[in-house]
Amino acid sequence: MRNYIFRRLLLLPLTVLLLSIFVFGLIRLVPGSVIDARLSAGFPGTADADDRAKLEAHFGLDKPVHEQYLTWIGQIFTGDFGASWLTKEEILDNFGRRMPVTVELLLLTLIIYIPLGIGTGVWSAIRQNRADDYGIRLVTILFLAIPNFWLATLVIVIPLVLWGYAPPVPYVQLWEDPGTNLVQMIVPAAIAALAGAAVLGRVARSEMLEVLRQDYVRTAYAKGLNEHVVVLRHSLRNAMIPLITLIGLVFANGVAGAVIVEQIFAIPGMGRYLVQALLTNDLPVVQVWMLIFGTSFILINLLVDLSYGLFDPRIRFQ
Amino acid sequence: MRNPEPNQEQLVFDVYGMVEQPPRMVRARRLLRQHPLGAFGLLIVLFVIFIAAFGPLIAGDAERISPNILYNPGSEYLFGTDRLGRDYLARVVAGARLSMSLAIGAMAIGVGVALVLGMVSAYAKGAIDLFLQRIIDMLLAFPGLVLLLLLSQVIGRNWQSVALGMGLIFAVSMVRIVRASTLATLAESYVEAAQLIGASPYRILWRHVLPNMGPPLLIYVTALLGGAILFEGALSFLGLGVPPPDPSWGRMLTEARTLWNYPHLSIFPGIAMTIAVLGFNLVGDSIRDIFDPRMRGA
Repeated sequence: MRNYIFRRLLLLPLTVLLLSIFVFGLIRLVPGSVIDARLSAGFPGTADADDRAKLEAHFGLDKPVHEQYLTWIGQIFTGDFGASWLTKEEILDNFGRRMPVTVELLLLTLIIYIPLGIGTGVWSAIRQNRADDYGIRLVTILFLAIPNFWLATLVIVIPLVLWGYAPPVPYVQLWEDPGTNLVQMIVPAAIAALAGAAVLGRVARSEMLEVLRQDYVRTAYAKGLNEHVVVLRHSLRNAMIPLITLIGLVFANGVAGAVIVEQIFAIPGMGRYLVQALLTNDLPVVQVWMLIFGTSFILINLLVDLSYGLFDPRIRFQ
Repeated sequence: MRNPEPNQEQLVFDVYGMVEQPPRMVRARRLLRQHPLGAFGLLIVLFVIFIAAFGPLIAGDAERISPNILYNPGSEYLFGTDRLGRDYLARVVAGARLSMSLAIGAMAIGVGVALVLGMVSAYAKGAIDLFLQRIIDMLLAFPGLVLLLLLSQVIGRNWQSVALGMGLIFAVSMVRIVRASTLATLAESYVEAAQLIGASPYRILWRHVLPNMGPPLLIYVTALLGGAILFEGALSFLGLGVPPPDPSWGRMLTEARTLWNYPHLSIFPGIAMTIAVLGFNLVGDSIRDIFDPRMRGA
């Protein structure tokens, strides 16, 4: 186990290095740069060659690619994330403003997502093949098929058409007016959570069914323990171990959901920042965004892999 | 195809292998009866494929602009019209064709790339394997949608590049399956025998490894086809997918958002999308049950 941890930690910088090269290299392949957008209002080819050369020199695009990469990565290490090519705003400032918004959204999503997923999954498993199990499975399958961006649109449109109700705009920060902020955030969070909860629920159900078939569960019932104790203390705890694998997935799903709902509900978070940067070819922003989130995805997956030993002693002593 | 609950009669067939199997049609009917939800899903999928293939012939031209803008659904236009007076039924039907071609195209690319990378990675072993797997690890860490957004930036925004982008995303998630399956087959003694009589690596991969890939990949492919429809929708919804005038369900939903007092504009593409994804998911679930009885009913 110690060897395994050591090897994984050793590979970590290598993976992050690969990530930075991947993100940087891929972005360089983008056809039609922001230079076109700045010089000719999006009509490529109409820009003056002289102006173009000047701007390219200004952004350092005239140097060889490996030099550009080294400059960029060096600046990242000194905490200089660069500035947007389009708005000239510091990327770090934007991150500082937007990250708390997305973190709040993610936390709200998780608060809805995890209990809903595990709750319905466990309930479905202990009531296997009865009416409520079929009902839950049907709703789950349906929510896996409904596109979250459509659901979000309906949630905005239906109250608007029926009662002329619209959620308060523009976005209010949590510390300015918590009430309004929560009203604005709870619906997007719920929508981002639903499809994920359906995935989690299905896995929770099958894990739970597996555990409920074990001998020790039958023994627990035979001892006359009441159902609560058997389900919560003996079964759920063991069913939880495989569910830990899903934490990485939960986080990744949450971010993907945030990208969509932030766009629809006009929440000024990280997801919206990315989409806007992509739409305007604002490469430095995309680059740093991918680096930061990519690194956090990798770190979370690493922690998940390492935590198996913590929860399952059989793995620890291998 | 292994039966999830073999009855006595079938067991005899399987054990001796000399007795003739019941005709294909009988076996297929039996399978469908055992998986009613999968059969229902298959019905939906066939319906969507039929609509995609022949619908545009019946529903008419999806591009034709008319002065009858923003009609509500009625006898003249069954699904109403959009802001350019285009028949919305024709647009939704044409959207089915686009979605299905994209999903199937992406899947073909994904399976192809995954097969090549996975088999090469497993066969080559050593440094190449380690390097390829690190890259896959890194890519797997990203949510599919975010990776797709990044790719869409690089390879452009038309339907071919959306298919390519989705195909690459799917390849990332399938490479490991292919690699694991290849490693398992390569350990078989018949592969060793083939190597001893001097079969080339190409022949071994093609004749011995590839035929074993069917079941594990099939489970993934059907599950991902529904995902492909959702991915394309999300991408187009964000304005980063298929450009106008191609009738993508996702973009129709974006356009409908500004015209919120015409709810039919957002209802029909959304329902179409949900039905198509539901069909693929149901079929995918049943296929997984058939090949992997451990997960039955999950």
